[in-house]
Order: sequence, then C-alpha cells, then structure tokens
Amino acid sequence: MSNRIDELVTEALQSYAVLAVIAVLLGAVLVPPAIGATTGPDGQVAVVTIDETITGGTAEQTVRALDDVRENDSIDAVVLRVDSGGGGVAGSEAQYRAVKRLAETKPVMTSVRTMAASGAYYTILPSETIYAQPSSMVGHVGVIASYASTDGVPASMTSGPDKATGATVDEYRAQLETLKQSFVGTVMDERGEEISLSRTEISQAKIYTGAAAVENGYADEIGDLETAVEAAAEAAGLDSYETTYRNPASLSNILGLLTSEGETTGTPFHTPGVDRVRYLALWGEPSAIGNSTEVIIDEG
Amino acid sequence: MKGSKIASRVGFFALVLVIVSGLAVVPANTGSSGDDAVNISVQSHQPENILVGAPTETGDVDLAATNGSSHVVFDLSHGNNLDRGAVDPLVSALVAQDHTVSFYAGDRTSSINDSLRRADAFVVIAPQEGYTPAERAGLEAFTNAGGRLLLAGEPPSQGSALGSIFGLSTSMGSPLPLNGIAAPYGLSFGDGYVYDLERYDTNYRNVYAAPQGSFGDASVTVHEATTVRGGEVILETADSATLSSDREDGPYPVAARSGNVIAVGDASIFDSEWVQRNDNEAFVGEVLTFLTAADKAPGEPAPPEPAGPTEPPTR
Repeated sequence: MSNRIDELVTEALQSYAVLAVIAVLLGAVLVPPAIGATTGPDGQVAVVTIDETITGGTAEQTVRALDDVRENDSIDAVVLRVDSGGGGVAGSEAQYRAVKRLAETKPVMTSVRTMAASGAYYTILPSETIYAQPSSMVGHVGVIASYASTDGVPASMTSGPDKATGATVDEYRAQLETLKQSFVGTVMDERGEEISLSRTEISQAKIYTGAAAVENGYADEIGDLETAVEAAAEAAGLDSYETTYRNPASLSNILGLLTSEGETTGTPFHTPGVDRVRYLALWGEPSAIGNSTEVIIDEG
Repeated sequence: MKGSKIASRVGFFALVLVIVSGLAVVPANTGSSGDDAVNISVQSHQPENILVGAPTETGDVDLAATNGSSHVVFDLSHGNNLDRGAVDPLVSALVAQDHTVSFYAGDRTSSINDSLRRADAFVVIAPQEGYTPAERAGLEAFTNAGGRLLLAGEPPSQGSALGSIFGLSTSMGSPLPLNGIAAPYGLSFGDGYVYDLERYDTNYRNVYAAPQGSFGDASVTVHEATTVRGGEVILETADSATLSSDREDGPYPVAARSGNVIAVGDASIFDSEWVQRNDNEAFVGEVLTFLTAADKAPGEPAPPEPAGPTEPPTR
C-alpha cells in the first residue's frame, strides 16, 4: 500500500529543479563550516623580516617579497620585523617604495628589534605605526659618500675625463647633497606631525634609542613583535588570525656564506678590482671602504 | 523509477553540490589578485624637489698694485701638505704683479732663516713638522723687521669616510706645528672644524664666512675650517655655524690678523680646488695684497749669534 507522502517525495525527487534547490541549500549549509574547519582564523598577518645589511641583491629579494605579500589577497596585514643598520641608498629607496606601495593596500606595522638605522629606517617610513623597544637604535638619517681611490684606472686609459671617476669632486658633493635632501625630505613627509625634530636636527644624522625615538617622533610606540602583529590584525579588522613568516633575504645571506670560501671581506660592499663612488645609508663605515664597491645592482 | 533515471538524478545532484561548494571555496583560497598596479607619488624623490647642482667656479685672484716688487717664499721644509701646482693661482697672481715667488724645501747649505733674509713675505701652509726654537726666533725677527707672515692650517684629521676619501684638500694636517709659531703673536688655531646645517655651500662642511674690516666684503666659502683665536678677526662664519668639538653655535673667527701676521684656519682656500669657489678669490687677493705690502728692512733678520747645542723642534 503506497503512502501519499512517499509518492509526493518520490515525484519531487524526480524533478531536476527540486534536486538543484536541495543541492544548493545543502551546499550553503555544509560548505562554510567545512571552510572554517580548514582555514581556521579570519585572516592572516604576514611578518616580513629585514635583518640584513641592505645591498642591491638583498633589496631586490625584499622588494619581490613585499610585492608578493601586497598581491596576495589571503594576507590582510603586514608587520615588518626590522633589525638592520641600513646599507646602499638605492636599495633602501627601492625597499621604501615597495613598503609605500604595500601600505597603500593593507595595514603595515613595524617592529624594530635591535636597530632600524639609516637605510633600514628609510625602508620602514611608510609604516602606520613603528614599534621600538627601549633599547632599539632608531634613526641616523643621512648618507655616506665613499670615493674611489685615485690609483684606479689611469686617466689616460679612459675614453673621457670623467670615465674613471664618474664626475668631479664638486659634482659628487652635489650628488651627496641631493641624496640627503631626498632622505631628510622623505622623513619629514612620512613622519609629518609625529616628529618633533626640525629638518636641521634630522640632518645631524643622529641615532636614538627606542625610548628617545618614541619621544621625538622617529618611532610611535614602545612594543615588540607581538604588539605589532596584534596591532596589524586589529587594523585589518581581524578577530582571529594566523601569522606567517617570511625572511626574503635569508637565502642570499646563506648563499653568501657558502660562496665566501672562508674569506672574510669585512663588508658586503665588495667588487674586487673595482674602485668607484658609493652612496651608503648605513650606520657605521664598511671596513674596506677605500678598496671596495657596493655590489652591482643598485649602483648600476 | 528506473536505475538509469536514478543515476542521472544523483549525478545531477552531485554536480550542483560540487559547483556550489566550489564557488564558496575558491575565493577563500585565491592567492594573487593579479591587480598589482599601485601608483605611488613620493615628492621627496622628485628631481625638482631635491636636485642639487655643482657650483660654478669663476674669477681670478687679483691683488692690488704696490710700489715695489716683493719676494714671497712658500715653506715646503716642514712636511707641508702643499702641492706647488695647487697654489698656481696664487703664484700667477703674484708674478703678474712683478713679485717674485720661491719655494723653500730646505737644504744642507742654507737654513730657513737664510731664506727669510731674502724674503719680504713668508707663507706657511699646513706644516706637519714642528719648527725649532731657532726657526721660530727667526720668524719673529722676520716679522719684527717688517716681513709679513701667512699661516694657514686645517683642523686635525676628521676621521670620516668623507674626509679621508675627498683627500684633495681635506685633513691637510694638524694645527699643532702652526700653533708653535702663532703663539708669540697671540694667535692660536682650534682643534675642531666648523660646520653649518642651515646655510652651507653644497655640503655642511663648506661654511659661508664674511671678511671683516679692510679685507673686503666678499662672500667666502671655507672648507672644513678650524677656528683662529686672538688678534683682529678678518674672516668670520655665519652665526648658524657650529664647532664640531663642542657643538656650540657661532659665529666663529676663521682668520685673524696680528700685526704683520695673518692666520687662516683653512689651508684649502689657497688651493686651486677652492680658490675660485664663491668669492674666495677676492679674499685671497686681499691676503696677497697684505703680504706684498711688506716694508721689510733689507737683510733682516740678522744671523743669530752662535748658540749652544741645537734644541729639538717644539710643537
């Protein structure tokens, strides 16, 4: 004996339309919990480490990583974990511009570990908030020009009067001043009303402890990496989040150790056999400053 | 219902379920958005906001005509950090006015005092070695007899990459040997360098200075200059200048006169690299005019009486 309800159900299940509606409803009910079970948190905070002396090679890798992070929609906010005394001016500028692009699309915070000096400080300027520890060293806004030794290529073996040196001493002084104007101007523009130092005081190129940097506006708050990650997540509106870590220049550091063959050059700015002008946004002087040159890419 | 019909409906159901699930899942796992064009504008990277040009350097050293011809001797006998070629502009200007120029490099047959007897003016630039008491006594006798003396020095080595690499006219020596011969005239050279972070000529170590009194009204640029204390100030920095050793603001005297002696805390201003910078050539011309206006008694200073054992040089 057939039940009327069973007949109706059987008939309905033979309809493609009814089956489609049921499938859609079932999918809507079952899939979101399944997604939640596999992805967990609401979003992701990426921590990008910059802890090397900035050369053209490391900057290229860091910029690529920052661009990847920017284009990755599954990453909601970024923390720059910085521990660097800077390096080449061109590499520092490239990193600054990459962070600037990144900050246009998602929240960027910075956590300064031991130091964010010179070119490293340049890099983090677009950050929404700069967290430093009391003992961190922050600032040192300026450029070092090192000049090629005069015993390089004999002038008689060049095709033009400035081919060996690249420019006159006066012109190099002007170039140095141009780079300084750019660096100091960027600090003034990015830190805006946060900074209490005058342009002249910034030009002194002093480095400050994290405690002092928070007072004078080079940094924003005292805090560590966890503070910065939480702030980044909050800025991105994440209730829960996972943290992923990237250290883009670590590969080049490892390769550098493997290829050094036990020789210690004392500086990453080294091109044997070549003397030329270098501009460095660096805390401290490279030990082989008179006889070496920054790695190729950024002074190209 | 036949088995084939059931199978087709189960397949359809599964297909819809997979599509719906897929639509829900795919956005969550999408990585790159592919939209990577982010244009940024950095005003402090724009050339019109930051570009600094190298200064033009023009003008010739010119000194006032005098009644007679003077003999100007440059000292090269004390390890002076002085290249004869670098002072060509000065030599040319002096010779053009019929003055005589010679360089005393020291030899076994004559002393510096022998040169002083033939000289009307004596120029000491960046000596690295001290002067003996006899030499200092000779210099004093020389100026007392109307001879004129120019002392020019630099601050001690600044020890920076910039200073060591520029090399051409920086870190030309210690002021200590100069202080030994400047002291009897009440003059002394400092141990720091002046810089200016507000108003400067291309670099903060190139400081603007203004001549005082009869030494003109030109705008002078001194390069890594040290201070000169005592005497009558003839060249002074702007008040925005700072002294490296104590970080106190200026103005600072960087050249002074005491009787027949002029002390300049910047040797590089007499170097061809800097003599045409700003209006430096005008100030240098005034200094040469001062030197060639000497009215020295012929043959002075007289040879000293024979003395005891030679005393060591004093710094």
